[in-house]
Amino acid sequence: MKLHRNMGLYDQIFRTIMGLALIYLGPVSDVLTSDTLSESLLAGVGIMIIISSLIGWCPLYHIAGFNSHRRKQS
Amino acid sequence: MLFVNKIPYKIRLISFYIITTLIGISLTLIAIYNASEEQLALDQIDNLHEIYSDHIKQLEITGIKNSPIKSLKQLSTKLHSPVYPVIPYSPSEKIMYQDATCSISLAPELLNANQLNPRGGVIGLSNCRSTWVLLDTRFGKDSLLVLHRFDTDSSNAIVSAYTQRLLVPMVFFIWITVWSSLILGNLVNRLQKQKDEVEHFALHDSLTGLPNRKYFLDAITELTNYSNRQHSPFILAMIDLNKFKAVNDSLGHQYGDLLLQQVAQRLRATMRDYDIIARLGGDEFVLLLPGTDIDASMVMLKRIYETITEPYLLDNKDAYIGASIGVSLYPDHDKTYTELVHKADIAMYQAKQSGGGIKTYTSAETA
Repeated sequence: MKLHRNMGLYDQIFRTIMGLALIYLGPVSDVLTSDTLSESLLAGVGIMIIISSLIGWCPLYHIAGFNSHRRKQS
Repeated sequence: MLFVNKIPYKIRLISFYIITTLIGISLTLIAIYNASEEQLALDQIDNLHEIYSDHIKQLEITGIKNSPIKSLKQLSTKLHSPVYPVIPYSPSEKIMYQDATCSISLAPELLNANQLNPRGGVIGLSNCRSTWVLLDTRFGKDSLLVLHRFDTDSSNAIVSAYTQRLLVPMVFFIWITVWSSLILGNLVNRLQKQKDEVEHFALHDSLTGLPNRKYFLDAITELTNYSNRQHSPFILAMIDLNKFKAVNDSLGHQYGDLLLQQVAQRLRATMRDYDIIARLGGDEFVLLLPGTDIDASMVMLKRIYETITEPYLLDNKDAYIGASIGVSLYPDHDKTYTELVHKADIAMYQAKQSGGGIKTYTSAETA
């Protein structure tokens, strides 16, 4: 399946920062919580967000019909 | 309700999802909170029971040998503490317990009704929430009752455990719910769009975009019913293009199609918003002019006739056609739409035989 890019640059930057923040708040530090389930959830979502921002394609955007990627006018 | 209808569908769907999710989460949290409190109370009851049973055994062994009632009083005095008041208890008596902030009448029924396990329970009165434990002694049926004011710090501990363990899963759940509603909203939109497209294709002609025969039949049925009720006239006009076949044969079918598209455009531009135009097939069109009598319709039909018989430019090629228009009037010519169509057809063929133009239906008797 060909993945059509559906994420803009600002979205990717924002997601990367969010992903790193979630990983930091989850397993790395105990600032927010020290509960294992909560930490795993934060890490899981953080990793998903970072991966999606790296490939520029978000599966949730895809199913929900969103697109933050502006195609260049040719 | 009107206000709700003004909110976009997607926002309504998301709000509905979030509200139901929050209600679900709140109910679950209340249930978890109550269960946690009960668990705390059970732990407290078991602890109290264990500690006091040991003390009782020791005191009994070290020699309380009076009568059962005296022995119980001695035991309760020795075990009594301000935090854990110990009271001699008899199932046949009602005991009043009172301290600075709280006064409880400890009837056996009250204890039974608030029992959590065989060892004790929690009495939850307005400002006086206490765990109680019944302790058996070897002095007959009477026993000792230990009360303990329920620790409010324990409740705070539950809330703190919530924020530690439940906050992130809750936010995660709400996040998933918002996405689910967005996805569902998108699916509903796509389905709606497909449904609209299918409906449009079912009721419209794909070449000209005009309503088709099915649409026309629905519309004329509705219009006939409406006009019956309102006693309002309407005009039905059948249009057949003259020399269309010649254009098709001489220039080709693609030019014929272009011509039909241009005729449809001209018809649309000439007619009022509430008039209905449909393509019945080939070069046959039909018009419904609601609320119009024969005189008013003639002005319109002449304009339509002039417009569609003007020369056409089809991809740099000129085309000339004529038109035959047959007219029937509701209710003068008939009250059923099948007959109206039939009579307009007859008038149209009469017009065609006379080389084109507009003909109103006239019956054989009046002709």
